[in-house]
Amino acid sequence: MSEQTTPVLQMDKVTKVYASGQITLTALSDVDLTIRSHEMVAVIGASGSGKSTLMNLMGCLDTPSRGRYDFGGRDIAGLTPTELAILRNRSIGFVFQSFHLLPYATARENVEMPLLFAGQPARKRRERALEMLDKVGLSQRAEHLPTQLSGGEMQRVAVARALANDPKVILADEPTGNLDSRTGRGILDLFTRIWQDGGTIVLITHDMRLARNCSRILKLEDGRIVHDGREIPADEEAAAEAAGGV
Amino acid sequence: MRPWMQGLAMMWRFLGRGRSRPASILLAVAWGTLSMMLLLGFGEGLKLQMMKGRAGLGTTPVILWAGTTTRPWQGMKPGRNVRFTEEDVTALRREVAEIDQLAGEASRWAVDLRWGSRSVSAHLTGVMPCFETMRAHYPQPGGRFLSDVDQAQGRRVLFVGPKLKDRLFGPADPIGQTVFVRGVPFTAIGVMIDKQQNGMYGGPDIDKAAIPLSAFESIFGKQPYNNILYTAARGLAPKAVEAKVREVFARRYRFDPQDEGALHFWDTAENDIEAKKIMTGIQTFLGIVGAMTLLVAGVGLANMLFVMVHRRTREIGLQMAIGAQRSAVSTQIVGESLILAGLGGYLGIGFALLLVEIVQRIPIQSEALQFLGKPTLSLPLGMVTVVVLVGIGCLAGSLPARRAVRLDPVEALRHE
Repeated sequence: MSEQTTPVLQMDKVTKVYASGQITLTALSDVDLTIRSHEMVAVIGASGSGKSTLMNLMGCLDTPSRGRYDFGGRDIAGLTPTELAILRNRSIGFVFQSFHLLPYATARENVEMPLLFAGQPARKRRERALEMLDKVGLSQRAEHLPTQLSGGEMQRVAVARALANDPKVILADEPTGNLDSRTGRGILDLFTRIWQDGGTIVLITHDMRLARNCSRILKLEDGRIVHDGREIPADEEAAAEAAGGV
Repeated sequence: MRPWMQGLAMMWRFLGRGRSRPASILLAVAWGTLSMMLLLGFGEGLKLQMMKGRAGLGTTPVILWAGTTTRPWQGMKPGRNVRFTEEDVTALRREVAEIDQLAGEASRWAVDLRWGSRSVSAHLTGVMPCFETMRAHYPQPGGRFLSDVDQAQGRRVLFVGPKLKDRLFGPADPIGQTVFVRGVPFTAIGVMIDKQQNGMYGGPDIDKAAIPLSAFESIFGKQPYNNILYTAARGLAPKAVEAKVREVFARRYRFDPQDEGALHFWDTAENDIEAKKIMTGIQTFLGIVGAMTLLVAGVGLANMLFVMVHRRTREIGLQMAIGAQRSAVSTQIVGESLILAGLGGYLGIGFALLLVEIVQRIPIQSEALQFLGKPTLSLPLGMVTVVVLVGIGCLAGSLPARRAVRLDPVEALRHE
């Protein structure tokens, strides 16, 4: 099915090298990757395997050292910082491990922020933010500050914020990493529902239960994609079971 | 909505919410402005007071005292006394065209003045009508100063200083009252407007009584004047007239015109120049102190704003990740700095106005305070202070803002 849908993003031999003085570190090398709409992709791999680098590149927060990256059919290499900002604002929704909510803004105001940067008028922002909060089940908590919310609720606010501008893709970096397993389950359900509603999601995760729910699983090792398929690679499955068995 | 408007909207919505920094920044700017304004305000008050005190002596007359010759001259020994007479005044008037106002003055300490049952001892002067302007003997409303007719006819009329009026009459209106001067009845015709007087001889004018010189002589008999006063014609330096005056007296009393001991000149205009120099010095000093204060306040402000922006690096990273354009971010930061600096500045001006208002309501009694005068705020100076601080705020906000928006959002997000 995924073969018929249009590509959201495409990477062609993308390499990212970090240079610090004499030392250079290749975080990603020759990554070829296409993510199509209505996919739910899990990116797994050990720490330092290049997951976060991949995520930052996908999110246009960073640019490749070599290779070509097209987002929505546009080569991002030619875009100015302003064009990149507009692209991130309209087409990408971010969900971070540590939520990154403005501590002094209410849930609704946090969700309104990307709408504000999209130039939406106040009334529309408010309506849309409340709609999104309702979608993540937090309509009762709209006027609460992050400090008055639980971890799971904060991450729901972050998801609502990511959804606000109806992005082409949602990029979630360890979205359940700071949550207990029950709350994490709730966030997973939320992502699954968004996916079923037609959304495109890329998740970075350590959590095999999360990965198992995805339509496609990528495994990174030393900056290369070593697995790309519907199933969890056998070694990861075994490791997860061993961990679960303890 | 344009990006900078988005920035303004963000700033407006979250201004001062849940952060302690804005309050301290506001306070710092307010404090800087307040101290700057008070400092210069007190300087201005001091200056005004000095100018008032200067005016208290009159139109900067030269005051001339008779001395004793110190050099032998034309076969005469030194040590002869010079004594001023009415004829000397006439001679000066005739021979020195450069003199404008001219008068002799006789005075006597501890003269008994009696009104009804009250009796005080006062310094009594016999003066000429031109003292009104030359020595600033301006009458309060309802009264008048001695006139030419009073002098010509030797009328027994009395003009008193306000302090003496209080001593002799208390709260009563003295105009038209009969006062016995050494037993001779005089009519009180005026009370001097209260004044501040820096230079004085024979005590402050406000505690003296003045009668026409002619009436003075009718009581005490003709006697040498205590001093002669004159002003130079408009545009002339009193110093230039001094030599001519000296010549006239040297000829009349036959002493060496170079003899410094025979005549003593007090050029009050010279005092005036001194005072002006001192005032300029004080103001320069206060200006430097003020500039330093402003500098310190500015550096403090810049530092605080820098820290404020630095602490928000993560937040800025987030905003950029979710699509804030650079101008939206920098407008927020610079706008916030401007608002804080501006608001703090106006707060400072407000406090300064309030404080000065309070100080001005304190009636000045002590002599130290009287010399200091009342602080007078200069609104333009306050505005300049605010503008400078706002400028510093703008700069201090925009430098870290520029740095922040050039930061990699990924790095900014990781910032602790």
